[in-house]
Amino acid sequence: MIGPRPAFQPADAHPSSAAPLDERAPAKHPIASRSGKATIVATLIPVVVLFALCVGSSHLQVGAVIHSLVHPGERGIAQTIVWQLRMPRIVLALLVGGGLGVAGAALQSLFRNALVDPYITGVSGGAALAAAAGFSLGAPFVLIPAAAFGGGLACAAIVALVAGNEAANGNLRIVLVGVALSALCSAVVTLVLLHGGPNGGLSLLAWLAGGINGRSWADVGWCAAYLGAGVAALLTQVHALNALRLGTVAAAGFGLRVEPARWKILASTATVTAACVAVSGVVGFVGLMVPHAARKLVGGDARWLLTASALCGAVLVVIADTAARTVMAPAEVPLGVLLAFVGIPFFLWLTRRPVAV
Amino acid sequence: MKPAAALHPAEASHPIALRGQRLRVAYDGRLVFHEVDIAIPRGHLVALIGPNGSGKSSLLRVLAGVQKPASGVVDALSRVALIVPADAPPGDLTPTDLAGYACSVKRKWWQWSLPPHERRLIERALGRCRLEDRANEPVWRLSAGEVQRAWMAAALACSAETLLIDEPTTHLDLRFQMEILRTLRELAGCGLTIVMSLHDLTLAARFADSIALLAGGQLSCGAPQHILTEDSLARAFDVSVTTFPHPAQGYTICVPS
Repeated sequence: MIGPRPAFQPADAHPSSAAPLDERAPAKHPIASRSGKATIVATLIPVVVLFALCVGSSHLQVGAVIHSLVHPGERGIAQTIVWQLRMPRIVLALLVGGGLGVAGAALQSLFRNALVDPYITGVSGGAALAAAAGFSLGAPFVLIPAAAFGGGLACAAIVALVAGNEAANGNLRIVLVGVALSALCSAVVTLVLLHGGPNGGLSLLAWLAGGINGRSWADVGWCAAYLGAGVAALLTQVHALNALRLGTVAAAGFGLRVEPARWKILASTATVTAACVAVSGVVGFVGLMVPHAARKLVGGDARWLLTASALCGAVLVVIADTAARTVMAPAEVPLGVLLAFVGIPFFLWLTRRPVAV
Repeated sequence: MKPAAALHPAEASHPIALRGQRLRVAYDGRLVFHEVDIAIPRGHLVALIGPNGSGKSSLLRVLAGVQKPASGVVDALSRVALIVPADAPPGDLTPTDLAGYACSVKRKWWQWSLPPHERRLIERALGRCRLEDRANEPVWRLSAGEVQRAWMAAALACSAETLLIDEPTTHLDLRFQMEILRTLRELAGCGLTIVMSLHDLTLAARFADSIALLAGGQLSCGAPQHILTEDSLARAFDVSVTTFPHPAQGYTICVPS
């Protein structure tokens, strides 16, 4: 025997279900508001780019910079400074910042862990080790990102295998394994540095400290190509990232093929990180801090989070790089060192409060 | 314990929504269950009971296709969704978001916004789970029972015809347990097939059409009064249980002796 079965009330007949969803309680993150906030950050980009073009060892007037931008074919000191010296560097800062922001947001969503980023999961460390090995072996510069991709993906794979299921302490293990891998990679990089000779070792050290000085338009081209491929692949996984926010079992229960999705996300993230590491060395904390700021702005939905992380990361790194080349001018502070000064207090603050991913 | 067969002998001719044959699951060489056959008729509410560690969650995962069995075959003759309500969704999500994420698994990647037909499905699913007034509240503001119903609405929005629910009444007080089980009873009443794992034997007898008892690696299926006997429960749970019919409604009440 079973209990009495109440008659089914069709949803359509339910009085309060007649009104569309949008007309009921206001949404926490209405789309209009999210797009508005993303637009505001996007409009910051030309402002900070213009500012970065103006300041430096020789200051340029805004009018001169705009004139140079509008007339790129003219010859002159301002044109040379804007188009040959500062612009490639600023575009690379935009790419690196955007890329690291996107990679950090994707990793945090994938692992459902607010404390992970390409640096902490060992992806940056693996990419740096492979790139350093490539440099010291005299590999062509264009192949460095491919080597970095291999190293980054290898570390990502180890972390993913360790955190293969959502067992107890799975998230803690991700961080522990990532930190251990980073330490190992760092130790091997030191070994490479010691055997790199006085000149090779120093230039490698400067690259590892993080920075995008001395880059040309050619560097911008191949970095954009690798980065574009990685970000495009990541964008195909936004729905998977959203479903994985519910947990791997829940996502699988709704029909997601979890393992292929996880590997696609990891490979895409490794590609993006590799492009960034190859061009700028190890720039930590961008991938950690930026997704948190972006999440505050637009919420955790991967579609908006990746977009906002790219925009916020681009703005942050352009500002940081401008500071790196101006605060101690004519000397330059490595970008990675500068960001560590901001990033470490942020990380410590983060560990003291629970953050939903 | 009788061998597993079609769940309800009287309804063996019912169309089947989900069938598992000769299923076997083992972890690190430890056999959990083997040679398990189960056939869930469409529109049935089935309670899966058994002691802790007997493999209830594993069986649900295998039936949902989330976990591969060591051997055996699962025939999903309907669209199946697995719900694990103990998993807390991120607190900033609303029931609408939750259902949207569940639906987006099947969506093309370039379809970033919710298509109108999915929006209608979500509205209808939220209505069926009585969440229309809480549709845009973040999860952290919902009660535990409402969160469980949000999971169910998400599964319904995906056009699931068979819901496999792992312990829908976990962490719920008696009122919310009744609320959830009544909702599931209503959904089964309008044609949905539901398999839920439960620990409360009396609630299982009160609400389910059929009981599947998984114990000692074997599955026994049938009507509640055939499965919930003192002998079978004593063997399964290794504890003495007294059963007697409810004086008014007739369902089996199970009390540990």
